[in-house]
Amino acid sequence: MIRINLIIRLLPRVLVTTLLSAVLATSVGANNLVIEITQGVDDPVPIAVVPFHWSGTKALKEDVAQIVDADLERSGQFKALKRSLMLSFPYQEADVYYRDWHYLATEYLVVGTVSASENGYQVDYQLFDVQRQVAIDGGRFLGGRNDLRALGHSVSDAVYEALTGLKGAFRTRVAYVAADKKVNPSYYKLLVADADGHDAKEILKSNQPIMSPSWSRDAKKLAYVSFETNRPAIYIQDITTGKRERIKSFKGINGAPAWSPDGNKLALVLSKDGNAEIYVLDLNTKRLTRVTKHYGIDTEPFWSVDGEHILFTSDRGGKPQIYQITLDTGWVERLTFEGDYNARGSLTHDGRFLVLVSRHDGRFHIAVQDLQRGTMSLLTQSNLDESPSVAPNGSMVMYSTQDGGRDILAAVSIDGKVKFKLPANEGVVREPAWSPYLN
Amino acid sequence: MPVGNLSKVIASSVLVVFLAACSSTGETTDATSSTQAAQAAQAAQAAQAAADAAALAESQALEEVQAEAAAQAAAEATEQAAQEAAQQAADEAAAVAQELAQQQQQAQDAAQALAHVIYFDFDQSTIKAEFRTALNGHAAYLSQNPTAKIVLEGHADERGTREYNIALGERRGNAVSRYLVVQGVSVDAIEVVSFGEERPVNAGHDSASWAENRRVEIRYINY
Repeated sequence: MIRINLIIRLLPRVLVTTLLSAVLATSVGANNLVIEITQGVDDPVPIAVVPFHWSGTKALKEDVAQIVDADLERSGQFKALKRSLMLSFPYQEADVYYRDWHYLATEYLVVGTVSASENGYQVDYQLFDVQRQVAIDGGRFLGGRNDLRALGHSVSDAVYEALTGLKGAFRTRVAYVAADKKVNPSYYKLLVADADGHDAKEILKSNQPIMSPSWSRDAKKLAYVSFETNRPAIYIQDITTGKRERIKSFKGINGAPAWSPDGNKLALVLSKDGNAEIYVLDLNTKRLTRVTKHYGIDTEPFWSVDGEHILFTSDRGGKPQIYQITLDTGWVERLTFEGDYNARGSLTHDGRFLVLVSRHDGRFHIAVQDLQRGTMSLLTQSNLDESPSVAPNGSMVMYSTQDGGRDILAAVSIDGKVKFKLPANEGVVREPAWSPYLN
Repeated sequence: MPVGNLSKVIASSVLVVFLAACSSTGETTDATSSTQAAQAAQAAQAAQAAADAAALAESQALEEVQAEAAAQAAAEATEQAAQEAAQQAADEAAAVAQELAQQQQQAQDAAQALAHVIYFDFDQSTIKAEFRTALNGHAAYLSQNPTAKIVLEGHADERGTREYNIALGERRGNAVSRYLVVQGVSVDAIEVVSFGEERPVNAGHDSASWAENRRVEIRYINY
């Protein structure tokens, strides 16, 4: 389990530099060079991440610069310069020759060092604007002996934020379900990996289905559904200690757990009163409140950012569509109208985009609906795409899809322009749940 | 036999009395022969009476023995008759029980022979006509066997979202449950558990595989 013991973002060396770089960044943006997420892969920004200098004697287990390189490329907004093309390998500002990097058509340059610290490692980095020939960001991160990858992701987050203005989501995790490819006998596993797919750790293994992992707001616990007793029950498990608690279960469905933004409540689906309905469980008082009341299916709750509404899927209109209920008043409003199958809605962190599964011509795609404009657009063209989960910064959506007849994880940017796959070594993987920011 | 011993004891005591009478007769011959003869005759009479009594007693004892033996034989005969009757009754009961068990087994076999998987159309929970015969058979068995219990496991194909498919699988299980209840099955004999699309029987990604996966499985947890 990766845990940052201590993170120190150093202030840029001189306050004046900071102000200057901020101004420069803005002016550069006005000139067409500022990175806009929407420009995506059509015109990725060239960046060079020079191998970080390591002051120790034994080779490091991880290549930190390579991690940063891969993170930035995976965002689809950057094109990293190959090392073989680099003319020099500076790791401090004094050794940076801007002309070299300019010659290589690099717009931004990242250099850094890794050094041993008391309990692990210290990573220092600096980000330079090649055209302006200035350092625009820099910092230091500390971590334990097993935290090199996390330290790399922290550098990526910082660089990404400095260049896009959007908080990076590289140092996050993804929970997902893996299963044997065979139907029977089969196994089901709940795993947690870094958002780039590395360091997968098994949380639970069962010979009965596991589904619907959902992160607590502090990214320390997972709620999920397990059929290990031959009946569905919701469990909450601390992913560090492994300690888990079974929520009181009822006859019928016990499913679709979703943590409230304040972390104190869990929305869930029970059919104890006849058919699938949304309930809210107060995790402190254990009080259970029924939210929906309809003979149609009501499922897949997702909390609004302010915690005052719950989005859900319902076929009360005949076909599954996404609705929103206001918890105070019970007022229900339908949100989707395009197409005859829209389900599993979730929102970006700013509440502007509704991400969902939408069927078109009999095929299931990930779609996004702009709640301000009301327009829906498809993010994927593959089939059987499901379980979309939005990164905490709203930049990417991870989902599961079919690839060569098996389930894999994939991600697409919220604008549909950037896509990447997260293949599994064996078996099938599905139901990705992107974690909140790790603190 | 104690009765036989008693008659021997009585017979030997008669002999002792007779010998004693004879010897006393011999002793008194020298004194007064007439008195002695009379005494001897009395003794002989007494001895004869004793012997008669002993013989009577013996014959009575014998009769008693015989009666007792007869009684015992009769008792034994009665007992045997009773045992035989009981055995017969038991055999008959066993036969009936066996027949019932056979009938039960046949009913159970018949229930087992019925289709245990009900298939559905996409996004539908309507029970198709072709499955009514099987369901009627299950309903008949369940209503005749109040201790029998079933779990209706609802399943969906992989299309659509997972939690929605859990609800869809339950809807299918409920449809089958309602059908059985209408046929007279107690609601307490039925539990519905939906597995959604999580436990396919066919891992394929085509129409034929999906059709196999959209189903309700009837699982008996008690016959």
